Amino acid sequence: MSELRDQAELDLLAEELRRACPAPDLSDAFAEELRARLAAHPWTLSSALRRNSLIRVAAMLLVLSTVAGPVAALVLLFRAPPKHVAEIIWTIPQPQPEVEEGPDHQPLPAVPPVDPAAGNAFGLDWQEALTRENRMALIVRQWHDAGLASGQAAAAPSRLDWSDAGRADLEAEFLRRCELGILASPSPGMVQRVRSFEPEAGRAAQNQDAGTASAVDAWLAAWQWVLDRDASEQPEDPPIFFGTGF
Amino acid sequence: MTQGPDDLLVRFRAGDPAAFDQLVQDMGPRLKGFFLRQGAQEATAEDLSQHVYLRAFQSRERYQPTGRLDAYLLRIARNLWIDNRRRKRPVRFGDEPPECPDPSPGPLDQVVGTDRAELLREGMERLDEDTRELLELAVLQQLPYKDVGELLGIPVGTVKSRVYYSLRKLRDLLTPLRDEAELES
Repeated sequence: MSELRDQAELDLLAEELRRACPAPDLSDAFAEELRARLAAHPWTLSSALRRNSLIRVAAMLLVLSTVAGPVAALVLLFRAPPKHVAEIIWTIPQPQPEVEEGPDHQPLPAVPPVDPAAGNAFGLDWQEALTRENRMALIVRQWHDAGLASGQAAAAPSRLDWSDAGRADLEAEFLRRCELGILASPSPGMVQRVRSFEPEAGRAAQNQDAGTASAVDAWLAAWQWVLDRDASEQPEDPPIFFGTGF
Repeated sequence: MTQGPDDLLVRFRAGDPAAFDQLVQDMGPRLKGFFLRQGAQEATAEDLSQHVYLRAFQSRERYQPTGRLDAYLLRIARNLWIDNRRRKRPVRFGDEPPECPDPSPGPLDQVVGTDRAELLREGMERLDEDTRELLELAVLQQLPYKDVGELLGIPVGTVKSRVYYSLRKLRDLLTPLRDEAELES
């Protein structure tokens, strides 16, 4: 009961309070001033940031880009420098090591390059075959330079088996090679047949049979120059230019 | 205070010029009274009241008329007052200097010193800030307890009990104030 009476008293008190604190009058210029402010509607950064998310993003990027440089510089400035501890070292002088002389080493033998295909094809070392080809090339060039080429050589060799070939065959084969510029080394059979005439040429030379010797010497010397020319013993130029019969 | 389709701010947003006049007429004095009773000077109270309208105008597109418009404006007013106190806003040019009460009663005080209304106003001034704010919103502005609770961030039941005890506190203050006034007279 007393609570109710208390509440009623407080309600009356609240009513009294409302009457004691009436709303004040506004100044005469209030409305006009407010209208002017609303019309001016000044742009403020805070209101723009509140209203426009794009402006917020742009402002954030601007702030970040502005701050990033100085912050990075400060970080670099105050970053602890790498610890560099000077290391003190000393070296004890060592006596020069004594080198023991070992056994004499022989120079290693030079191994020429090997072309297995060429070696197998001709039964000769690759180096020797190449040397013969070079010598043949020299003969062919000088043959043509001397104007000896007739242009009537046979395209194919006169025979395939050279085991029973005569002088004329070997001479003709040499000339054919000169005419056609064939540089390939002669086959082992042909070489063997050429070698077989060397004793005969030797005997002819001993017998002073000038005619036979010169005839044998002419084609044999040419073959020998190609096959066995030794720089120290035989002339550098092919024998055909010494008037030996070709 | 209207709400919903008849909300003055909605009508103003829709381009009704009369809504603005009515809004100023209805809420202007209440807002000014709020700021004055919180301790603002006359000019500052009007300036802050205008800022309430400006802020409501700026956010008019986002405004949703789901509640009472006066509660919405008083929420803005309260935030403005808190910002103002935090920044210790300088006194505007034209403001009256802060009142320095003369301890000695003047002739007018002797006549009206015992006036009940004056006692109530003085009692309000002597209340602590939170109590004064609660009575301002719940009693003087007559906001529903629900809105007061949302504004202050407290449950409705707490609002009710605090209003009850705040009024009792005010009532208890009146007796010594009356005695002081009688002594002074």
